[in-house]
Amino acid sequence: MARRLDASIIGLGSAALNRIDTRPAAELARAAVRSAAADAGLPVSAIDGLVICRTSAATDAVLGLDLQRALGLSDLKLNRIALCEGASALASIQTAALAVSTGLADTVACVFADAPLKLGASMSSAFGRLKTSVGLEGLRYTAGLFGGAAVYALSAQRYLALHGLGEDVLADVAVTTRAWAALNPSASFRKPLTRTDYFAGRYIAEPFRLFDCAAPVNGAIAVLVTRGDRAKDGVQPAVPILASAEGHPGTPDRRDFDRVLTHGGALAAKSMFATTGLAPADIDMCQFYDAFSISPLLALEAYGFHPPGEAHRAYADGAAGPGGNGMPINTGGGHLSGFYLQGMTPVMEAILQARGAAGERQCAKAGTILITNDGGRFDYHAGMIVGSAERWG
Amino acid sequence: MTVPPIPDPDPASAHFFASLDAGKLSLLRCLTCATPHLAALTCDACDGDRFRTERASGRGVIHSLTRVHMAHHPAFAGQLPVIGGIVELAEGPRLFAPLIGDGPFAIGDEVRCEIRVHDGRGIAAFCAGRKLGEPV
Repeated sequence: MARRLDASIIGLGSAALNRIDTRPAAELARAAVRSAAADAGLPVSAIDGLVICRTSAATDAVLGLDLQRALGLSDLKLNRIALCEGASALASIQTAALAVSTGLADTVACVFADAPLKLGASMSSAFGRLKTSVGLEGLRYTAGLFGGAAVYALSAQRYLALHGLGEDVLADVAVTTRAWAALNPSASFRKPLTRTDYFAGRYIAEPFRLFDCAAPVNGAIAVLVTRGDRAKDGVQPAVPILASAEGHPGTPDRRDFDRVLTHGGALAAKSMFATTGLAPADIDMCQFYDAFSISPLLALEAYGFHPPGEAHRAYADGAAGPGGNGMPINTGGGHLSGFYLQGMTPVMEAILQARGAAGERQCAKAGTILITNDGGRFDYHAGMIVGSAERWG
Repeated sequence: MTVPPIPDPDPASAHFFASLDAGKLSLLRCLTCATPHLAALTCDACDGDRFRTERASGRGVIHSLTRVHMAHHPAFAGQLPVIGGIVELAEGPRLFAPLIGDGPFAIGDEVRCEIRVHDGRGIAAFCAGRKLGEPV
């Protein structure tokens, strides 16, 4: 069993999170770290550790040394890049939590920045590009499977076929997530979405339509992590990290295995629930990585909220949406309707909910929150359970 | 015509692409436990790291597929939707592959490999295979 961490999130900052700010990612990262320090009521110089997470597709790489110098920071005790694709944000916060728990550093900033959108360029050009085409994995491009949508569609298509489900289960995820976005002033798409609107959306990669795919933005999000005792007298209510775990399945791609449906959440769940003594029923809300609508369904099943093929029940009749009678999911509008800032999108919403600072969309019960990050084609996974100071302080 | 991107071989897949470029679909059979792989340096089933190359039958079934409605590469422009999927070979290993010829295609359908070589590089595409019981 993993030992408990002694770490809390005390600062949250952001920059841009829109489709019009075309500053380079490095500058957005600098702005977000300064914003997180200000949020925590600390001078930037209080930061003694940096962990950068970045997209593997970044053309504008934010390097540790560059960011350290841009922020004017000296004598850092930690300066690291966490790189496991979409799971990098939680991996970076886990690295920070480990460092502060053991006293290797006191106040660590974790930042993700990306600027995929250029003025006048199409949205699909942001992510539909060819990564290095090497080895057997590179055959995806030979098969015409560019962009995340095409490979995640393979998971969705098989999931629906295996469980005899229709595309309406994906529609429910998109419609529910949009209902939350309508309550979030920072979300990209806030106009209510009906099932009819959903099915009128054009196909991107079947079964995914337009509304099954994330909304890319330019932006950066940073968080500040410190040891539990240091967090208590902060300006903001501390958000304790109750558990953190990674799970990278490495499932073989051959008969008797199902790589496209094997989700690392099962591994992370086992570790985090054992460490904390918590169970799915103790989780008040989930902030899932939802670059595509299939991801929350697979995460719900991997974490044991529902048996295989039944995760759609979480969304039935708006249960996971505003005012619903189930567990709230992706209360900020997620990646689908909020903004795609990879693993930091669910982190930001979890912090706001745990602080009781989520405005119109604040949920009554936000004491224990599960956050997930997925990377690659479910190759990388990281999970984290955070709490409110009120519940766990 | 414009050819789709074809991956560069890496150490695990060198034999696979060398065979494909010669117009053959081949796999690696673990010498210790006989587990089949398309690309491997270590056998995940037994930790063995010695393999022999074996000709694959070229038959398989569709493990999953998608119709992609955007052309991200000139090779696919004008032929949307592109149908790509994952094929499980009769021997067990799976690979990403273009699905070509008359469909419709569905998960579980039998397919067979058709190799095309362009300028010395092979592409393993799959087309609808014989239905069970059909004569060879």
